[in-house]
Amino acid sequence: MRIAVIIITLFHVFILNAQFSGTALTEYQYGKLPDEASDEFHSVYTNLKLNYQFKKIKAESGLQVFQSPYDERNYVQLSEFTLGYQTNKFDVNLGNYSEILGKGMLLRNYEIPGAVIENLSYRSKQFFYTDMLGAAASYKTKSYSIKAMWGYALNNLFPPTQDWNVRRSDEIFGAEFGYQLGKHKLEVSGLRLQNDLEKSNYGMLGLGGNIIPELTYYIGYANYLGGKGKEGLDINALYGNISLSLNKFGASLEFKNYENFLIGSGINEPPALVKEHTYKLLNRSTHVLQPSNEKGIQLETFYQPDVFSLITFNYTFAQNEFLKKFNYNEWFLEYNGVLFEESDFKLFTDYAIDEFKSQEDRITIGTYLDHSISDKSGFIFEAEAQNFNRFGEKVKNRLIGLTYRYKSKFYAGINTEWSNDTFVSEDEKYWVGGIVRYKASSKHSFQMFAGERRGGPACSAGVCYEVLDFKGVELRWTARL
Amino acid sequence: MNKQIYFYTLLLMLFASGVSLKAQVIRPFSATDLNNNLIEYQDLKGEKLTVYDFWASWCKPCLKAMPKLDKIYEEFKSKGVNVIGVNVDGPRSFSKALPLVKSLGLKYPVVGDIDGNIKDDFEVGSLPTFIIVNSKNKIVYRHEGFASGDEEEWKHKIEKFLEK
Repeated sequence: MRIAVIIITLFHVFILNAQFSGTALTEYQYGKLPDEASDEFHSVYTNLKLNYQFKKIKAESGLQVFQSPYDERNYVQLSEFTLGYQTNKFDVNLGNYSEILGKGMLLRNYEIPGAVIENLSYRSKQFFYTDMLGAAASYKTKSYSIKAMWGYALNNLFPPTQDWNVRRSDEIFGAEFGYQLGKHKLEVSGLRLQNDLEKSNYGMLGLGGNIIPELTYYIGYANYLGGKGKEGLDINALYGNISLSLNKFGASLEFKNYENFLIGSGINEPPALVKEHTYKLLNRSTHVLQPSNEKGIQLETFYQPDVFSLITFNYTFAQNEFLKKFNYNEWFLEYNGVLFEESDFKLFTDYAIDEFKSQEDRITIGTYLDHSISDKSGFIFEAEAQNFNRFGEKVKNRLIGLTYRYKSKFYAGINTEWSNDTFVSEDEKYWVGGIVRYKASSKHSFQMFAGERRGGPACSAGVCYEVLDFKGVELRWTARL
Repeated sequence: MNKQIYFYTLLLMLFASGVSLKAQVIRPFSATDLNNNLIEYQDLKGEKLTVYDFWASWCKPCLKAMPKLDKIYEEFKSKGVNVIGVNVDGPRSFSKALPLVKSLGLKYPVVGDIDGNIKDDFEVGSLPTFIIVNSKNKIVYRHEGFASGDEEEWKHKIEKFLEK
């Protein structure tokens, strides 16, 4: 009887006074890669997260499931289990956790919301994230901060069908100490990495703050501090930025110089200094950072002529040296404003020279118009065009999209692309796809795609990856408890 | 095959049944503003409601929503409502956040979340995400994405929760 009372009491304390939360993403596909010899097939991917919270303690769990007709691609995986305690000052996590060291120069974990990736080699799907498996703790006050961590870093180039020691080959110990010096903050970071090929130690110094209220800066320098497996290499990274804000004008100037700074299997992500475009053709044409050898600058300016207008200019220069020097230069100008009081309007132009991809005189122009036809509904029109020269060939890419929207609850649209790029297809090629999105409530949303989708490089949330082409039908259900 | 059917049936039942024992409660946290000053959660809270806007400099709908959110802040700040922008730009773009906020002339406070810890604790799955938290730290409303007209719905929700 006494035990029953204790159990009931505990149940009330821990269950009824606790919060459960969770999300689930399920994606069903019927189709194939357009050039694949095999027939279309069905596949289902699910990413389920369930969390339990009791006051300042939170237990998080995650499950990934992929099912297809091919056994070697299928898996059921416990992707996450974390026990965490958090207050204003303390943060302790055991299990899977996400961390960053030295503004990403030494370590960066990330999760790209809603992104499911498929690797061409393994053809298995997984959620697009990296994390650590181990333990981490941090303590923050107004004058200083300290954090320490240990764990095995996830290499997401390998899907969950691969062995644990392949996916988490890098063991790291990391620590960071920050000290506030008036309006400046000094950060000292260290990382020790160990895998089958190397034992490496890295150190970093960072300083950031305000010179005057309108002018802020950050500078960080990281260096290899010795170890085994990287003898004879010059390994270092320098990053800095300075930001200016004057009334309706803002500017950010950044510079980088990275030398052999790919840590382990790629657990770090030094700032790329390349604009992440939301326009599809530009996003696909992006320059991907090579931390093993890259230097460059990025200048971005903003000017707001009125409340709902913004003019953005960006200049990017990157240089890689692999036997010879390859320069990347890009100039981008965008106007974002309101047209006829009812329509959101964007117009952009972009000029680039990408020597690494042998793209000369790459000119991209485009527009985006969201025209309201009532208080709640409207049409979105997108058009982009890109021309460049490569080995004497004139390459053209075109994109047009038309979407009907009802608030942010319902979208139905069609997207078409055309290209004569022989690197993509021997003959001229069209891609036509229809997409419908419906947000049934704040907890459930559905998305359906039917048609053919063009793949290629994509960048989201600062991370670049490869998206595979797809032809078929795709249904996605996103739910929240 | 049977195991798959059981799994998806269970998943459907769990999420479609609307299981929700209690609203999610926000754990205390601290964050640095875009000038590197540490701010504690208690100092950010509105007296009655706190509105969180998770955004990034590369997210176009986020930039579209922010001036409208600034108007909401101006309208409701004297009624016990605070608005907080949470910038989730990573290493690639964090340097653009401050000049962007200044050039947009935003009056509500903005904190940085370069490591994504606040985003993860609020279980934010897409950008922009607009969250209303009541004085007891409970999430009472969550809205993902932005299209013109959504700001009217946000105002109605704020008014409704202020009446409670």
